[in-house]
Amino acid sequence: MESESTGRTYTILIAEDEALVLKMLSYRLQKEGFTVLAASDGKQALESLRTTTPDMVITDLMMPYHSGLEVLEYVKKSLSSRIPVLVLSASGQEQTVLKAFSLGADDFALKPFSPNELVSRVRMHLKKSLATSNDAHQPDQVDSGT
Amino acid sequence: MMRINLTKWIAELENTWLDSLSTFQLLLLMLVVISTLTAVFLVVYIVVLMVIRNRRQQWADALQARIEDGIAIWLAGDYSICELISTFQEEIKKDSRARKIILNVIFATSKLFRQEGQSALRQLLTGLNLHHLCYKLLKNRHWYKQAYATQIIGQLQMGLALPLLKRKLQTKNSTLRIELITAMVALGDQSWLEDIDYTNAHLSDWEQILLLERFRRLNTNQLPPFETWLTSTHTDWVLFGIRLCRNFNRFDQVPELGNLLKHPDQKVQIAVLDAFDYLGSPEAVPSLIRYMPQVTGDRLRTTLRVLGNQGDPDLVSLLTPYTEHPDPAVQVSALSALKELGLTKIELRQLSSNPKYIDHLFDPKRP
Amino acid sequence: MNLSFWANMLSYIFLVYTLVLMLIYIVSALASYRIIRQHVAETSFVDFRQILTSPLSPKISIIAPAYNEALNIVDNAKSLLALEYPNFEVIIVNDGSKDETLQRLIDAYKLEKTSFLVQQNVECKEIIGVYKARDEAVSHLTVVDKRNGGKSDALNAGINVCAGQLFACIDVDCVLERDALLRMIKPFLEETDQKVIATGGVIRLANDCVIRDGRLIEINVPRNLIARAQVLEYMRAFLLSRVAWAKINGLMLISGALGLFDKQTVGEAGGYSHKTVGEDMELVMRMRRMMEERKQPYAVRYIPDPLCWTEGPTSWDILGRQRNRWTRGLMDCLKFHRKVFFNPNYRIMGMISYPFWFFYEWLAPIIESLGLVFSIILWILGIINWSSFWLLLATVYSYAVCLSCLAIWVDQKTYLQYRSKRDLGRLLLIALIEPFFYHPFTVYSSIRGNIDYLRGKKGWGSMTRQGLSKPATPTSTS
Repeated sequence: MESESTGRTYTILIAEDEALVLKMLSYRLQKEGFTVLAASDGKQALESLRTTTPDMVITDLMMPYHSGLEVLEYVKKSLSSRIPVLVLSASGQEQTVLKAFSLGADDFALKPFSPNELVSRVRMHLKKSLATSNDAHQPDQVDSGT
Repeated sequence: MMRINLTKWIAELENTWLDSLSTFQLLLLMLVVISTLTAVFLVVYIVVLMVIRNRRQQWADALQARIEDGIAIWLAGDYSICELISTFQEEIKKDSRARKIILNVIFATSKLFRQEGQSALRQLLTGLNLHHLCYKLLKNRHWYKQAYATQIIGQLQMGLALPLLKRKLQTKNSTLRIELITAMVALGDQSWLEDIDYTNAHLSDWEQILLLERFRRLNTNQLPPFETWLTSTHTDWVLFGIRLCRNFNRFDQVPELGNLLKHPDQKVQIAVLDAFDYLGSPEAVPSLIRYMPQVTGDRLRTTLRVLGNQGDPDLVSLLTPYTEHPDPAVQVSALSALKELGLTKIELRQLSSNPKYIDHLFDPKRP
Repeated sequence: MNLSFWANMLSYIFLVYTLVLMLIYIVSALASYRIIRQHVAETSFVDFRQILTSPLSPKISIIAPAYNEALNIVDNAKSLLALEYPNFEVIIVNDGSKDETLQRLIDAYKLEKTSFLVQQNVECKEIIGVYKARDEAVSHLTVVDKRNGGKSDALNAGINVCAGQLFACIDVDCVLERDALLRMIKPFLEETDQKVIATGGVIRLANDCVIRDGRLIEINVPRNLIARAQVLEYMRAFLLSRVAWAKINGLMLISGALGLFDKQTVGEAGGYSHKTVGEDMELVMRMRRMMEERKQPYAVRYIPDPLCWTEGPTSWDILGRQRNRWTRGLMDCLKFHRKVFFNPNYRIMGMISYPFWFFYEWLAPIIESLGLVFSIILWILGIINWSSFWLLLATVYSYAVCLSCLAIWVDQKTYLQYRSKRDLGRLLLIALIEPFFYHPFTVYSSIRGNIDYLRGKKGWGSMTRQGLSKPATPTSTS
């Protein structure tokens, strides 16, 4: 997603252990113009977060080594609570949803999901996080894309 | 030269040692030889299996990664379906075992999408002629391969395969039957209800759990007409019908469920009570009141609890006699129900002979 | 009738005995293999996590007796509470521990004493208090504090307190797979024409395996040779034998480390017995007898999936005491229920299971030792036939190795727990040397057990914390 005024590309970290889902999301989001960091398990996700700070994080819940909740916690507490985190899960159990939101998740999507829907959610969250970011900057023109 | 020496050696062996052995010892020797050969065979099998498996796994993993990439790019819109099909067909030409793997990946992809997204994948499937592979698997001698093919057909909405599925419904294998029912329901066909062999096909609780989970993932208009099962002559199906009514919040069926409290089977009665517990509908009260005097034990306790949760103060006089029931557990349940209906601690103390029960009810940490 | 004749006669008898055992084992191995394959195929179609939210699943109570477990009790409780099942409760029974087991739990979960109405369904020593937490997240944890009474007593207390329809008896230091309960309820729900009264699960050794947060991360064959030999032993018992026995409904033993029982049936049978150290087997036998006497159709089933991981003893000392205890437990069970021996009223249990356990699980070590003694006598008397002797040894050895290879093969073709070349190599190596060092020791411990039993020794003896292994799973000696 490129902003017309600043020409900045946004980085999204995707943490997902199902290779198919990871690839699908990566390609789709890359096509939409984002830079994608892919992590296939919790350990890689945390390592990636230590080196680069993405603009948004999409994480699955059930992953080897570290669960999505740990990734979520790390982002919200150690990086910045303004980075939107979208949690993906195959189970919509109430407890899981509550736990995710209580840790600060910004959105929760169930699998199976529609990629189009996911892309528009991503845009929406980035737009929101831009709007609430430093008021000193001019509100950017966000391309709400097709 | 070597051969002559060997035969000479064997002959000598036979003549000297083997001949000296008694039957007993020959028997033992035979056993030793058989055991050793079997052990060696097994070890060789294991080693070969491991080597082949590793090699095959590497090939399969690499191929799967390529297929997944292809599909991901296609879904993102950077490949047209024709390009994808021709790429995959080249893989198949290189090794025909790729067909199975491609089928697996398409199936895995289809599970990520809801009903609307299946048509593109179906197009891909037929473009690669893999639907024939599916049909072939349906006729495989292993039931689990048939079940797998059934899953694919249901998931990818391959409606043309419906007659093939119908023919298999009489199977004795319960896992296969569940998959068939799931697939047919997903394809929008309810004719399996007539084809099912009700007398032999017991619907065990396990099957009910599995089917319930599958039904939960369907749209409401796809569900089978389970309310008609409430009047079935087969207890298992009545049970299943009750549970489905509970799960899908069928308040309209409460009167019918109330009638089922007269059903001779205890499990059915318990299921109805559980449904009333969950649905909490006041229409259930008359049948519960009729039911209460006829039962004891856990069923009575559940009935008391359900009535207690109704919040209807008129029920107080009805429940009060049960505080003196011979079964102490029933007494506790009656007191608890009366507490839910609004009686205070003092009023309850007057009814019960055992103050410990009252204290227990008002304990905040009570489970 | 000279000595040679008797020597020959006895040799033949010994041979027949061994041949019958070999035959039984081969048949049960092949049957087990087929059953496991079928089971693995069936469960591949079940997404156990889907059932997680199902309201149709029966309520399960997990009862874990704890005695002087202060070191690990909070970790163990945490791993139990994290099990995946929609409708369950965890009951930890503090059996009058002399250390701070109870206090650690109270501190960790902020437990408070509650007024609990306990129904004395089965006999147990006085319950001092029942504790629960205010925190909703651990509302399914109950801790029972009672006077010391032994493992059976603690389990009975748990049965009295639990509210579930089924209860799982587990050892508090075992690690269960997350979906263990989901898998174990399957037999209870599947069978429509008979009542399943108990289900057992497979115990595997977790020595040298990596366990984190109560989850098994990495599976390795242990380095310690004793532990390694046990791995093989457990594989033989569980993969080749138990499954087949369960299929013909002849299973008499469900390991105390993991078992799921129908609470009502156990209550009617009287709960666990205080009179024996083999309480797990004794309960199953008693439950079976009760159902047979009532002429009610029932079954005792088995799940072949590896669901429970435990630490096995790594020293001869502790191993010896464990095997000694198992033998004494076995003898208790055989004694208490000798009425079923070849009694057609008890059908499979009386005509097949009990005789098998009598002749092969109990008598086998005795016969082996007697055979050795006999050979020595023959040697001293100078009439030993060396060919026979060595051939006999060779038969037994080659057969033992063959059986071990078979167990490894079945594992490779089904669950594939040990994948790496290194693990496989270790297993094959131990298969070759195990009959020389491990097997004689277990036979020796068995004989000691017999002697101790006849002398009237009861109880568990002292067990140290490290390497304490409680699964009472006597395996067939071969």
